[in-house]
Amino acid sequence: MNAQGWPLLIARILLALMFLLAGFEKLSAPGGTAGWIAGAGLPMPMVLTIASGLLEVVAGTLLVIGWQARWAALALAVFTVAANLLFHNYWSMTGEPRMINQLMFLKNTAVVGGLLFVFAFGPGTVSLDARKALT
Amino acid sequence: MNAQTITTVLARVLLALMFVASGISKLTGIEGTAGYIASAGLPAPQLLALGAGLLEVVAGTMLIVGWQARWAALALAAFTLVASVLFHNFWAMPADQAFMQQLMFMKNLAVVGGLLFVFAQGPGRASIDARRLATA
Repeated sequence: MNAQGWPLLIARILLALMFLLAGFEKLSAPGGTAGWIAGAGLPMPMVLTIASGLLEVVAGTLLVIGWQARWAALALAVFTVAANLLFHNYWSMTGEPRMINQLMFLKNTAVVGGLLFVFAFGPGTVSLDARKALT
Repeated sequence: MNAQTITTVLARVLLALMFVASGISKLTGIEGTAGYIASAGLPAPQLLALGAGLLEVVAGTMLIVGWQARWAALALAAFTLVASVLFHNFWAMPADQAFMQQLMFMKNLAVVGGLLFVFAQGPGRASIDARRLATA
């Protein structure tokens, strides 16, 4: 067992968990998220809710199983940057929302950094991508 | 410089930013941080605030420059796990705070996952670690 095997499977699960949970929540109760999206002034809130929920669940699952994991990680990174700019725009907020959203923004930025590492190096040896490369 | 090299430099900076920022804010506002630490029932809050702030700034900087980056990443991962369990324990919080704290907790777990990638793969070629290996 090396560091690029099982430890990276754990790392991928940790990275994916927040997307899987948020995605399932969007898909099981799209009304709440759609209202939030509409509140940010975006069009077609229901479509955007379903699409982002599907992206989070599908790309999150791909990341966990390590199938096309580099592209799943890149897609989640782009999605997170977009969500950050649209919904955690703390620089145009005041008071407590500003503080909380700045924290969220920084945490999301760090998550994007982690996803870019997956994009750069691939998912490691315990993954479907590595299995395909062997056969 | 290829795409992998550029991507890993950017990734390290993005990963480290929140630690450097929150470390500096701890060190410049020790009292506030100590109060927060004390409210979680921990001993020696001022010492812990100082220790946590220094760890975040030093390990965050090491991650950016890529010096002993694997160990800096592992230290930050352990620190983030401990901080999440102690301060974002959403399972023990009242309902109005639980949602937000769960969100923070999940985001922190994702950051730990990213840091474990750095620990496993190293910081990439544009780093002091890689330079030292090349000249050794």
